[in-house]
Amino acid sequence: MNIANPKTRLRRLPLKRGLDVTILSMGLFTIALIMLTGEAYRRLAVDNQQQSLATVVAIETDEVLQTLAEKSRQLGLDIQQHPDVRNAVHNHGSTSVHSLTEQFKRFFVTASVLKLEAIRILDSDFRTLAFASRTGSAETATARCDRLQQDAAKRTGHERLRALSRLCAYHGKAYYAQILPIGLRPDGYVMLVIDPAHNLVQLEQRMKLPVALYQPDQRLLYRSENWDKNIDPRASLEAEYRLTGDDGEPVLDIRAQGDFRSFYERLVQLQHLIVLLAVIATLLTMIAARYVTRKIVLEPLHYISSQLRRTGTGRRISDLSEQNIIAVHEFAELQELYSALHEMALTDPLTQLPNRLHFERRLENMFESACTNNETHALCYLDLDQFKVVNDSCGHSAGDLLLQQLAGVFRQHIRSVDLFARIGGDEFALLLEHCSPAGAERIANQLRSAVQDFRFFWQGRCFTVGVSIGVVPVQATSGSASRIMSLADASCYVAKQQGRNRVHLCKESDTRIEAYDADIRWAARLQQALSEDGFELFCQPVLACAHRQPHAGFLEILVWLRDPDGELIAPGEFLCVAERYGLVPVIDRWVLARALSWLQDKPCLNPGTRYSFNLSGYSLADDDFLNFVIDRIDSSGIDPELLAFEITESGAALNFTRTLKFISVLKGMGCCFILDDFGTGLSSFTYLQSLNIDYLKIDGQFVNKVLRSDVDLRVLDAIVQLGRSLQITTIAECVESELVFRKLQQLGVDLAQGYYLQAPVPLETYRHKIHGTPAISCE
Amino acid sequence: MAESRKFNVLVLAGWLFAAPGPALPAADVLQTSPVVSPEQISGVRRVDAEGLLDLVAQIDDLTLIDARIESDRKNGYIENSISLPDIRTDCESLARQLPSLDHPVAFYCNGPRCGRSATSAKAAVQCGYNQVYWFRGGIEEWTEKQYPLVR
Repeated sequence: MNIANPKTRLRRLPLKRGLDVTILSMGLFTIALIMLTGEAYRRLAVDNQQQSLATVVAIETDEVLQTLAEKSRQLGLDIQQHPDVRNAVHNHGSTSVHSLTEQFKRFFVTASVLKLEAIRILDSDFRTLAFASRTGSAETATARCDRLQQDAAKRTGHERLRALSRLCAYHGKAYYAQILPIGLRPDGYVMLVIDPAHNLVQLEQRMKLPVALYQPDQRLLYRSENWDKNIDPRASLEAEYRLTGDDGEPVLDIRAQGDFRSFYERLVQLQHLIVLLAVIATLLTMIAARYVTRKIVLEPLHYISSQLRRTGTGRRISDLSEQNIIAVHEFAELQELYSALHEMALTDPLTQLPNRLHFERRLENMFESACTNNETHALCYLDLDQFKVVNDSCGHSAGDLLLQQLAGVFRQHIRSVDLFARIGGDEFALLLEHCSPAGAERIANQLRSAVQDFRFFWQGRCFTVGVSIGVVPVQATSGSASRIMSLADASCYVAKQQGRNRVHLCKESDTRIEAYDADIRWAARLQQALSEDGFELFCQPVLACAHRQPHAGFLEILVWLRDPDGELIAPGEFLCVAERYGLVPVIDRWVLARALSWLQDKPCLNPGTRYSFNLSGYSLADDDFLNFVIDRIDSSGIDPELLAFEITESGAALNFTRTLKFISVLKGMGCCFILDDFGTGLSSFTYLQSLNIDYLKIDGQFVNKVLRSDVDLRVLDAIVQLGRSLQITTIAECVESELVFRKLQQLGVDLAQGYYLQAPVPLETYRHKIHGTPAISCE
Repeated sequence: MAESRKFNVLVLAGWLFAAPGPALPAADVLQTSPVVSPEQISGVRRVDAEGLLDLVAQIDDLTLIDARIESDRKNGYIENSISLPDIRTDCESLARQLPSLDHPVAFYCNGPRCGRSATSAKAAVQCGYNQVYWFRGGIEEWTEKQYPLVR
């Protein structure tokens, strides 16, 4: 199964190696082609040389034969002038002619330039009168070249006076024969038969080349001494010239050997040079191809894949132009791929609006341009108001549809130069180029009213949504893009705080924004404290005002925040923020759990002391919180009768039913309940009755002003009376002086708490303090 | 070696194409005189090579006179011709060769541009010979027609 078939193997071949292989094979092919071409050229050159050599041999041979003809004509004239010949012709006497044979022999001897084979004397009718031959044989003297004799006889008139010659073969041997007239009439003829090989040997000297002569039957007649028998066909060549008789029969073959060596050597050198160049060219092509491939294919591919990975991890991707990958422009498909990727990375898939990444980049650019050109742009931060309602009641698909439709609504109001982006679930942002804050506010209001007019229909139901918009100018003084963004966020928050569905323009030194900023910082500190255990438990005793008081006091557990630099911050400073950011329930749990486990560790400490805990409305409204409290009490093993919980009217109002349940369950277990801050909130008698509480803690503002304000004194008095009539123990907090304390005693307040009696102290150190305090009782 | 061979071939080939034809025989080239023989000479019968050969065949006692200077003869002459250069031709020298005024006699020299044979023929007519033949074409025409010369 693991054996890859060739196709897959080919596909797995790395691009670079694939290119190398292709170019290398092309290079090899080229070299082979060069070799073949070289060989073809060599053959052509050899053929040319051979032809040239053959031409030379032919020309030289013809010259030799011409010389031969001339010499033999002169010899013939010499012979025919000889008196014996004249006599023989005139007498027609064959006998006397025969006797001249001896005379003829001298011509054989003297004619060193010619090799005379035979002489014939013919009468006027070309009949042989006398003959002589070199060998003396009558047969060789008469039979050779008799065709010439016949041809000469066919001529008439003055034609017969002309010399007639031809090459002929006799028994495979070549001869040159010539017939010349005797006298002008003519009276007879002289015929000479000559061996042409004797003269043709001169070709060797004339051409300065080895020469060989062959008979037509390939018998060797002559061969030069320096004739190379083991001829190297690559380095030398032979040219052949065939002599033929008048009727076309072969007479003699002349061969010459041409020296081809230096030419061949140069040819081979040239071939090697070309092969070397081809190899170099192939290598260079390979390098160039690698380089080009890297530049126009691999680098852009790597770049795109790296960008793809960046997009996957949510980091920003850069523009193609930033990377200066020009080559990508030549690769249309890559470019398409890249732009698709780019598009994908910068677009919100649901609404097809630009996404947060796109927005942030544009914002940065805009801020830079604002800084360099001192321009003013604007940013609108939009948060839908009722989106959660649609999403929760109709499902996410409805929410998605709503967002899509809203995106369409927004698009109608946006200039093409501006950027409208979806940057979160139901958060949008609008960047307005070259737009004054006032103009941006106007546009934001247009958007807000457009959203307000918009109706969303879902399964027969109709919804309206609102939008809170924060508008922030983008200018050089803005600080940074992230600062602008957080300002926009804050402005939007402020708009929401102001009652939703409105626009808040962030101005310079905007107090609301600053407060919001402070809140945000507080929230961050609280979050940090929660995760790093940055809270500290404090306690402040609530004491009986008189000795005879049957009501025992208790310790109110407080939570203080420890700053990173060790400073302790009272709860009044941070609890409002904690409430706004929904952190109070977490703090409540932390306090309860920490305090109970502390008490559990120290069972012998202050036996019988009761402890009270502050609970926020959010904790009361939380169903799990009740279970948490019961669970903690059970696991700590502390007597629930020692525990009291302080709640506020507004907290209880948050979820009244659930609060009632909370109270009834814990009271059933023995816990007490204290209504805190009484007098400032609702101060409802219904609440007092239905909540079934045990203590009433009068708000500190009445207590503080009891000596100065008659109204406050009467309110206080009324509350005390109310408590007494409802049999609810009253507690006065924030008692800061002896005078106030005495007044409270006079009024008949049961319990008191405050800096005059005891400042809050860390829970850990409480025991020592209480023993060291003399004013434990009101006396 | 091969280089020089190739060069030779080239030179040879070039020469072959450049040359208009085979060189003329030396005898004809020697005669560079602008003299051109007259077409006809009164009292003289002009013959061509074949006419001359016919005369030789028909008239047994025809005397053939070579009017050229003697040195020209060594390059070849028509068989049985007698050397009598035109400058030495007068009635007396002619009389030594020709037995009578009726004796047939033929003159030739190198060719039409030679002029010697014309001079000699005129002289013979003036001396009173009445069978004077003149081979105007001379050696030039003779060799052109490949008739034999002797030396």
